[in-house]
Amino acid sequence: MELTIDRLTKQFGPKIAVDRVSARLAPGVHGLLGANGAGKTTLMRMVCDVLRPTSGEVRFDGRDVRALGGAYRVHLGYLPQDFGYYPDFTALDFMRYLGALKGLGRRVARSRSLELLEAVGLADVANAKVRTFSGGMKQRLGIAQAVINDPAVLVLDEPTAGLDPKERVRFRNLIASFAQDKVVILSTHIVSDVECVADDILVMRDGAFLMQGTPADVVARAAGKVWECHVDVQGADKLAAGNCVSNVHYAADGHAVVRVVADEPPTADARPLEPTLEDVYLYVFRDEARDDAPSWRM
Amino acid sequence: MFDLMGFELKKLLSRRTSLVACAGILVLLCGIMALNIVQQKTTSSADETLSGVAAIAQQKERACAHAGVLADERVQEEVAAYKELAFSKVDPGEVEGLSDAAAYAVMREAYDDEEFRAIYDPYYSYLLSPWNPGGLEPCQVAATLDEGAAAGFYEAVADKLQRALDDGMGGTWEYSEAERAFWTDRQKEVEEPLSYGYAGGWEDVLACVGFLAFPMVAVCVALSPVFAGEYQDRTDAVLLASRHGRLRLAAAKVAASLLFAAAYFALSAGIVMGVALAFFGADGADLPVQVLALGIPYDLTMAEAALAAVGLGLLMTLGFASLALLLSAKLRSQLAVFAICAALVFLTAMIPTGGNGALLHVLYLFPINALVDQVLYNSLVSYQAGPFVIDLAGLLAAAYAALTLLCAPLAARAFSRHQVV
Repeated sequence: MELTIDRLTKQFGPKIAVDRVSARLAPGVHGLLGANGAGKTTLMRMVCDVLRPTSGEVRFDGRDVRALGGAYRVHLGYLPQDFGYYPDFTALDFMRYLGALKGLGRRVARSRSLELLEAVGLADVANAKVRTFSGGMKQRLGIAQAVINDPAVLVLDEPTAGLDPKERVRFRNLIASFAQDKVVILSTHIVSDVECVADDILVMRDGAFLMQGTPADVVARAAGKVWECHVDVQGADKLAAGNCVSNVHYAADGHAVVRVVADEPPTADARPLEPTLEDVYLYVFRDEARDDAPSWRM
Repeated sequence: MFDLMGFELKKLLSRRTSLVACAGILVLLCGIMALNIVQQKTTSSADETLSGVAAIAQQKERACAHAGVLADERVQEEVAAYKELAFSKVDPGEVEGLSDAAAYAVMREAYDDEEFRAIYDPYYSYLLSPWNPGGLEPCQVAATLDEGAAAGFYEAVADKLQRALDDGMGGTWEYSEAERAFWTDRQKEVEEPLSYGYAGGWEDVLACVGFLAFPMVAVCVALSPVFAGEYQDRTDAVLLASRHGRLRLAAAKVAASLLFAAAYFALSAGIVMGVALAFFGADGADLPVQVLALGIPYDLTMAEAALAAVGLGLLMTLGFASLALLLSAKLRSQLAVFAICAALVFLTAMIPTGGNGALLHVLYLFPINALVDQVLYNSLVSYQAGPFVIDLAGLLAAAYAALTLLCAPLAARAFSRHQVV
């Protein structure tokens, strides 16, 4: 099983939201990292066939998903970024409705709904109306509906946005448990979400993929670019103004320990550190406000 | 499919705005129909003012007193008897040439209450109507009739139709030869002799059928979020990404919406018909629709005429429901969907025609203008396309059936092609 994104482009008037992106996605969790406005959601929508591309195509096992239509969507699970709910439906009704939409028979839909509500920790509120749910509960309901048809392709667009840290961890674990033998695309701008669960990372910026690889491969791109500098408070401010600073820690004696991502050692006594995915992310998007593109384009 | 329809109905019925609008309109209909009963008024033979069910009973008694077949001989005898009664104290020449108000005043002064009530029995106004060129009191019409004139009762009815065609809807419409032939043929199909009697319940249904425009608007309120609500609530992405989220869901939404519209309309029509027939009585179902007016050129019974009008209301409701669905699938704003539908239902009743027959013919195609018994059956509204002529009822049925058949699939298509942006 393979999902192929082939020179996929989406243009809204003069703005190119997704610019000829290509990727071959095998089973596993694919983390799609990018800042807000990078084109992740537009790409996800095209992958889910709810937005027509300007050019290019998405293929599922070699066949264009638009031509496959329902035969593709039967294998698809999708949790969109701003997913709306039916406030007057109970969680169980909502799941049964989505089950019916995904082609499950009445009995199968009910039993699978109950099973998944149990799995996401909503069994005790199965008959409560969705309007009474917290944001985290709604997101868990969202992931449950996305997998009700046991999809081969699971697309999760910013699934942890707005969740507190505990809910995020819980959500990541859920994703990991559902991800077996599936192509999971996890779009987020929260690095820790993909760092923990992704087998493969795609970094997206300005509608294009900047890099793709395993977390180790991607992190390795920042090898030799992460530094620890010990400076005073004024020095820390100066470093922050001119460099990509991923962390500043003020020690008890008043000096600052600054973690900097830069091509060259920012200070004479800078000590090289092992990079993390967050360092890579910060480096790639360090000039988000500026027009000059980073040099790491794939 | 049925599961999806069930869920769509549940969605429809769980929206508070829809519930409030639909329940409100049902209460309004109940109120209107109750007022319709309470406000019935007539005068008894003891000169007491009767109202409500007592008035209805009195009207029924008076109509039943004249029940029977209107054979030429009977008409001739009754016209002669009327003339004898009406001109026992007044010379026919005294009312001829007067205005209707002046003639009324002459009669009121000349006769005592009982005689006056007998002369102004609505039955005589009905019986003499074929000879009434318009705007005359029954006594004035009787004054113009010579001994043998009443023998040609049905000829007079036919002549009245020709006069109406010559008049051309008060001078606003010039009937073509094809239209004249159409209406003349229609009238020839009416079975003679006609029967007269009491059909108050069915008359009231026809008089109140226009109120069924209100449920049409409630249906539009309820259906405006069917597609637009999914876009606004951002549920469209998940629906459209599911296996049956395109064709089957769109079909289920349309089917559930039309089912809801039909059921809600049936409930509303049930209130109108139920109250009318319960209080006025279901008698006279098999009387000819000419009980309403002798010139009506349709061979229908009162029940058939009432049910046909309600049936047209149902078709209109389905047409507006389909239009609301199409707008809902195309627009994101539920308010815009409602505003367009409400304007088509209500504002078309307020547009001044300025005596423009063509505009009038267009406006007759909208519910509040069309669902009026006099317009539907007695106004000779016809449309011509080449050699083909169709009457208002026929065009309404065809137009709203076409609107439904066109808009419902287009709504489903628009939703299934919707792009989540």
